[in-house]
Parts: sequence; structure tokens; C-alpha cells
Amino acid sequence: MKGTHLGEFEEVVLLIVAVLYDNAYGVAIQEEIAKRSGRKVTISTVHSALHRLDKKGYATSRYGEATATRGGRRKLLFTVTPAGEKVLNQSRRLRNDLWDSIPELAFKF
Amino acid sequence: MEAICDPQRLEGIQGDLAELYEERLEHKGKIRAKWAYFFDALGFLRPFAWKKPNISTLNHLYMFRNYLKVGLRNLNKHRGYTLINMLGLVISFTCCLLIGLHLQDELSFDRYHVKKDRLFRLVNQVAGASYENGIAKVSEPWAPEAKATIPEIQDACRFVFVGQSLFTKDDQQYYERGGLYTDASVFNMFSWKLLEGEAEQVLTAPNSIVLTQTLAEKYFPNGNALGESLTIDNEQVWKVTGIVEDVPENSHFTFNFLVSLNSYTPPDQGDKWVRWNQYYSYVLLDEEQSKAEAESKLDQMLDKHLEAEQAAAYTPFLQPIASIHLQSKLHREMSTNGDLSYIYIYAIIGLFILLIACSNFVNLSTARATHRAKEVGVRKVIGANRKSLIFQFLSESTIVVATAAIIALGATRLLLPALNSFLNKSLQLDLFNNLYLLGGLIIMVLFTGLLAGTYPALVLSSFRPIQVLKGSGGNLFSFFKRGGVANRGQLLRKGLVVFQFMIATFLIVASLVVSGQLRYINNKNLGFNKDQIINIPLSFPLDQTKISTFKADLQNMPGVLNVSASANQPGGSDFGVPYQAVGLPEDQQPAMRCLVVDENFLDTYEIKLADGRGFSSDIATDSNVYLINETAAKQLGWNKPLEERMAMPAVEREPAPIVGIVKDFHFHSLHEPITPLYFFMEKTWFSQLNVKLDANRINETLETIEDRWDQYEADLPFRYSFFDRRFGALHAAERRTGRMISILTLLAIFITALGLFGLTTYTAEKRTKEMGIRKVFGASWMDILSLFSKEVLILVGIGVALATPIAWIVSSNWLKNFAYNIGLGVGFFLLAACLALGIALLTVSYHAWISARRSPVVSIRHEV
Repeated sequence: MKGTHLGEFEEVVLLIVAVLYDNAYGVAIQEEIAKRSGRKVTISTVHSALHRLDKKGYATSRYGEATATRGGRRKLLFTVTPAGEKVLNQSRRLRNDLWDSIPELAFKF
Repeated sequence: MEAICDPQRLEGIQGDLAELYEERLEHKGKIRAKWAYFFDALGFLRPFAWKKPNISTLNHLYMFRNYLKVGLRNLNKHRGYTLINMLGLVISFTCCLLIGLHLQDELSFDRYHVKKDRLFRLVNQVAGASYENGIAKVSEPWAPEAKATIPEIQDACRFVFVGQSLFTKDDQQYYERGGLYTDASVFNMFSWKLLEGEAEQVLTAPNSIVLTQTLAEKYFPNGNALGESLTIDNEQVWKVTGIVEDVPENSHFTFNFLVSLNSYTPPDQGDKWVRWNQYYSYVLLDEEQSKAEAESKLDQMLDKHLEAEQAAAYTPFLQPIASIHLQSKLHREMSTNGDLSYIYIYAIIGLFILLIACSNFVNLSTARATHRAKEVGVRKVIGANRKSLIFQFLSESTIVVATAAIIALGATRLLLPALNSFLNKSLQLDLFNNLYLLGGLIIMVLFTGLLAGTYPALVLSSFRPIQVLKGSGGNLFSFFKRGGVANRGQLLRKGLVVFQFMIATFLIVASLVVSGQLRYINNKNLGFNKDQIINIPLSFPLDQTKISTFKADLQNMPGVLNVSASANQPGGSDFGVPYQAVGLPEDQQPAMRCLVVDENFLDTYEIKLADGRGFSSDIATDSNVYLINETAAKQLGWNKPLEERMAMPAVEREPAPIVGIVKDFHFHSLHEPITPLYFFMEKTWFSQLNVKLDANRINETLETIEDRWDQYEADLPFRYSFFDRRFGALHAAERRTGRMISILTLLAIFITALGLFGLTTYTAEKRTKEMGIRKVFGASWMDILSLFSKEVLILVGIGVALATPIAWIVSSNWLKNFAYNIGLGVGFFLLAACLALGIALLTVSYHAWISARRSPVVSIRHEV
């Protein structure tokens, strides 16, 4: 498997999977990204990112209950794995560390 | 999407797409939602969403190298069996390829015309005529009238034979045959490609001629034939208006040149609608389906133009052009047609031979399964599953079959010229331009590979490792005795041997019957002597004094036994001129054929008289008297035929006495019973001399005749043909098929024997020790032989018994084609059975002999 690096968009998607918790599937994630960040992404981009997360072991998927909408098809629901949580935390910690080490003067323009 | 998408994800993705679609449907309308759906779906054309290759397939590919290696080693180790298998397969493939090429050619006849579905030949069935199926030609006005009055008929075209013509161009002078007079519409209807000249124009003017490329190059080697002229028969001048590509050989008729039909004047024979049925007529319908409609309108057309009686007897009908070659058996076909039943016969024999070779393969593979049992056991222990083992054995058999196919291709290429000269065709083995052949070959390889490989693969892969490996410590006999590995498929093996010998016996009977019938035809007393007679065509216009001096000259030559002039000869075209038996009602007058001959004809052909006398040159009135054959005398029903009179009002011959009755002789092929026949003398109709030669000095006599000919006809080259060869052509198709069947039968027997040989080789090897022990206990070589042959003979016997009824039905049906046949005797079947048993016995006894001769010391020590 190539690398375990978490890309920027992957991070966003993974966070949103965590946010949506029990209802994290393609369309919901797409909408949530649009709502929160204003980014318009296609559904296939979302799936592509989810697939990569799956392969890297940060998220797992399962099928939900069948619903009457969606032509009776089940939702492919994603959840964050412990490894996912760990990598998110790492990333967050890295940012926090970085924030913490910014000298106060740095942002005085 | 379903086709390429990873099935694990498919449902979720489709669900998402559907949800988005529904949402957009509400907000943006249907069309935009659909487009959006489409583009979203396209977005999934990314690697992540694709199906993953099956990991186990990769494993197969890797293992394949191992299968190949083991397979090749195995083939190499048992070279004898490999040779038997290969030889059988190569022979059968070669046969199938050659048969396939032949059949493909036969089936492709006339299918190259673009409008082939709408092209029909207009033919006529006449109630009460001597030709039952109908006549291929009709009279002049039919086709043009049909085109003018029947809306379904869009176009029409007629052909009339030109006859042999002498072409003169400067100092070049040749006889050319194969010319046709035809209508200008010919290039509109048929897809012959005009290289020069305009399709609409070329044949409109009288005396226009369109040459085929070959003929154009012969007379005009420098090109520019267009506009040049040729002198025909030293009198007419024909102008070249076009050049057409040579007609493909797969046509029911071909020509070397076409002449505009308006250059042809039919003789005045009275009613044009009935007389002079010399026009091959073709029509182009507006669509294929209107055939029935057009036929009924043709019938109405005849009602209008013919007298009621005649119109009632005539039934015009249309034949699809592509069906003519194989299915039409009319009177006066344009050329010798093929026969659909022979197509079936060849196809079936080809399949039989293939099946026999497959049976060999199956038999040898299963019989020798024990040799591979250990390998299978080890493979299974290491973790091969049944599927991969089946794959292994199937791929092995396919490789063998494919190799055989490649060798067979080479063999076919080598044998094709021989087949071509035999069939008088020019078949090509052009694998890459012949998709049917390529496809057929691939299908044949896969079919044979699967058919021959499946059973062995299933048997071999089903071995239980424990059972197999347990035996491996000691000798392999241990599990023969438990009814294990070796006995698998024994029933099938026996069944296949029975099957092979059934086919072989069937083919033996068939070829015996065919060759017997052909010998019968060749040797049957025809009632006249067909040997050592040559036919010399006369030149036109006839010069009676020249003919009689020439005749007299020939008569005086030492090597010439007899000379006569005639218009036709037995087996040739016999004029269907209507006659009248004076004093008999119409319905008592059977259709009769006639021979137009002079006073020496009966002597030349050694035809015997039953009563009365023949024509005589001394009696002046003999130019208008008649001879009839016995059948005619019987059918006419006169008490004293020699006191009755006949007339031919159609050609203005007054009633005249019948002076003699000729003994029945076979003036046609033996397919037909002898029909009524009459003779008359009409000097102006004569077209040939019949010269009976002394058998001992044929060559020198021919030279003398040629010298003499040049004195009389300085302008014309001397030509002749041997009568027996022309008469023999009536049975050419049977003779050819007979020889083909004999050859194929021999091959089938060979392959069968080969298989049996392989099988006994194996049995003998397996039972070496047993035979050794038997010998120690005092078995003689006869005992051993009977031990070996008993089982085989029973199997062959069953095969023979099964084949007999089938062979009986098929052969008796074939013999029904002949009015005179040998009849189906028990002899054929006895001989075939003896042959089959004999061959089997011979094959087996080789091994029995080896086993019997071997010293027991050697054989008991033998390890399998």
C-alpha cells in the first residue's frame, strides 16, 4: 500500500465522517462539505477519497438498512477506525504544536 | 457501470447517484437531473471503483507454465501415444478442412450478387412431359412480357447459348465456347463488374459483344479492346463494347463473352409462346416476399397468351438464384449442378472422422489415467483444487489439438492442389481472408479440445489423493484390484470403441455399395457399344455434298470401322420435337425423345434391331420414315407397330410409316429408366459425324482423319471428342463422390485402427505380468490371442450390429436414385462385418503375438 499520509481533502472527509457519525455516506458527506466549507465536489470525488481512506485503514464501510428512497438500494456507510482517530489526532496535534510555536510577532503585519 | 464496477461498492454508489438524482429532479427538472446523473456516473470511471482482478487467476497464469512443462514432458515420455493421437487428429482435421473448403465453396454459389435475394430464375413445369421437375428454359416472350405486365417484376433478362463460334482477329483464329446472347439489362441485375463500357449501354446495339477480361487479353494483348471488332464464323462482325471481369467460379453458370440478344434471330417455329424454349430467363422482383404473388400472376399471364389446354399443363415458377446450384434438378440446366444430399454426406463423414479421432483421444487419455494418478495425488495434497486440475488437463488437450490443427493446415495446403484437380475447382486456403474458415478452425480446435479433454479431465481430477498415494508405495496394481482408478471410464471406453466401429462399418458398407453400383454402371450392358467412337462436329452452313464425300473418304480409311452423321447422340440433348402417332388419341401418346440420325448410325453404335429394318440409303423414301424403340412400341400400344404411321406436324413432316423397332438401350444415365424413343432422318439437322475406330490403331487413324479434314475444311481446325467420355460424364458426380467416400472411409478405418492399437498397447503393457504367469502355467499363444481379442471382438460385433440397420436404410435410399441398381445384398454387410472384425483382430493380434512370444522370465520381472 502506498503511504499512509493523510491528504488535506482526505482529512476533511475523514473529519466529516466522524461528524456525521452514524449517517456518513456519499451524498451526506458531499452535502456536509458544501455546507461547512462551501466547496463543491462531485460525488465520485467523495467516493474516491473514501476509497483511499478505506485502503489506508482509516475508515471502514458497511451497508446500512435498505430504504425506500434511493431506488431501494442500501447506503454504504463509513465509520472512522481507531487508526483513523489516531491519524486525525496526530494531525491535530501537529497543528496545535505548530500554532503553539508561532512567535507572537509573526502575525503582526 | 455494473459491467466495470467493483461489486462490493456498486450498490452504495448507485444508491448515492439515485438519491442525488431524486433531489435534483425536484429542484432542477428532469433533463438536467438526467444529465447530472450521467456526468456523475462518468465520474466513477476511475481506477478505484473498478473490479479487482481475481487473485487466483494470476495464480492460474503462473501455474500454466508448470502445466505446460509437465504436459510436454508427459507427451514426450509417451511418444507412441502422442503420435497416435496426433496422427488421428491431424488426419481428421485435414479431412475436415478440405471438406469444409469444398462445402463453403458449394454453399457460396451465386451469393455474390448484390441483389441475390430478389433474383429469381423463371422456369416452367409441364404436366405430362418426360422431364418431371420442369425445364430450366422458357420461350422468348415470357420474360419481357412478365416485366411489362407484372408490377412485382422490376426487371428481366434472358440468356441464350451462342454455341461454339470461330473468332477471327487478324491472323488469330480460335474456337470459343461459353458465349451467351443476353438482354441489355444484364448488368443491372447481376453483379458482374464491368471494367470498361457503360452498364446501360454495352449490349443495346445489335452485334455488340462484351468480352471477359481473359478473352480480351487473348485477342487484344495491348489493351484498348474497346471499339475493336471481331469476325465471327467468317461472316459476322461483332464490335467490342465492354469488358467484364471474369465470372467467379462459384456461379451456376459462367460465360466467356456476352452478345446483345437482338443480334440473335430465333428460327420461326410457329407459336412463339410455346416453341423454341431456348431462353434462360431471370427476373428481378421488387422484394423477396412477392415471389408467390409474381408466380400466380405469371400463371395468369400464360392463361392469356396460351391455348387453354397448354396453359393448364404449364406451371411457371420462380427459383431463388442462390438455390439453383444445390437444389435445382431441372431439364437442361445451364451447367452441371451440385447436389445438396452430397453436401450432407460430406459434412456427416467429416464429423464422423472428427468424432473417431476424439474418441481415440478420450480412450487413450482415460486408459492411461493411472500414469498421471500419482501426479494428480501430489498436486491435490499440495493444494490444487479440482477446478485447477480440470483446467490443467483441458489446457493440455487443447494444446495437443491446436498443434494438430497447425500441422493439419500445412497438410491441407499440400493436398489442396490434388483436391482441386479432382473436383475441377480452384479452392484457396486463405486463412486470413476467409473468416468462416478461421472461425471454423478455432471452433473446431476448441470443440475438439473440450470434447476430447473434458472427460479425461473430470476423471483425472476426481481421484482421491489418499487412494492414489496409498498405492504409490508398492505397485499400481493394488488399486486396479480395488476397482479404483483404472476401471474408471471403462464403460465409456467400451462404448467409444463400439461407436468407432459402428461408424467404420457404416462407412465400409457405404463405400462398398457406392463402388459396387459404379462398377455396375460402368460394366452394365447398355444395349449399345460406347467405346472407340469419336464425335466430330460439322461446320455450318452444312454442305451436303462435302459431308458425303468426307464420309465416304473416312469410310475407306483402314482404321475406320464405320461412319455416320447425326444431329445428336445418346446421352446428349434429345430434341423434344412433338410428334403425332397417327390414329391414336392424345392421351395415349407418351412423351418421346428422339435421335436424328442417318442410315449408318445403328451400325456405328452397334444398336440392335428387334423387328423390321433400319434406315437405308438405297430407298429414297427413307428420308421420311421412323424407327421406335421397344419401350415406345409398348407404350403406344399398337398391335402391329410396323403397320402404323407417325408424323411431326411441328416441323412439317407428313405422316410416314414406322419401318423398324430398335431393341431397348440405355441412351441416358442409369438414373432413369429407358423411356420411349424414336429415330428419324433429317439431313439438314445434322451437326456431327460419329466415327467408329479400330481399337488397335486409334492414334494413327486420328492423324489421317485430321489430314483429310484439312482438305475439306481448310478454314476450320479439326476437333473431336471421344463418345465414351462424354457419356461417362453423365455419372461423373457419382464417380467423384464414390472415390471421395472410399478415401474418407479408408482414413476413418485407419484412425479407428490406430486408436484400437493404442488401446491394446496399453492393455498389453498392463497385463504383461499376468501373461507371463499364464504362460508359466501353460497357456499357448492361441489362448493369449483369444484372451486379448475376445473382448475387442465383442465390442466390434456390437458396433457392426448397430451399424447394419443404419447403413441399410441409407444405402437403399441412395440406390433408389438409380433406375438400374445392384440391389442391396447381404454380401455387402457380411463383407463389411468381416472387414471390421478382421481389422480389429489384426490390430489386436500384433500385441497378443508380442506378449505370447515374450519369455515369462522377462514379463514377470516387468514393472508397470
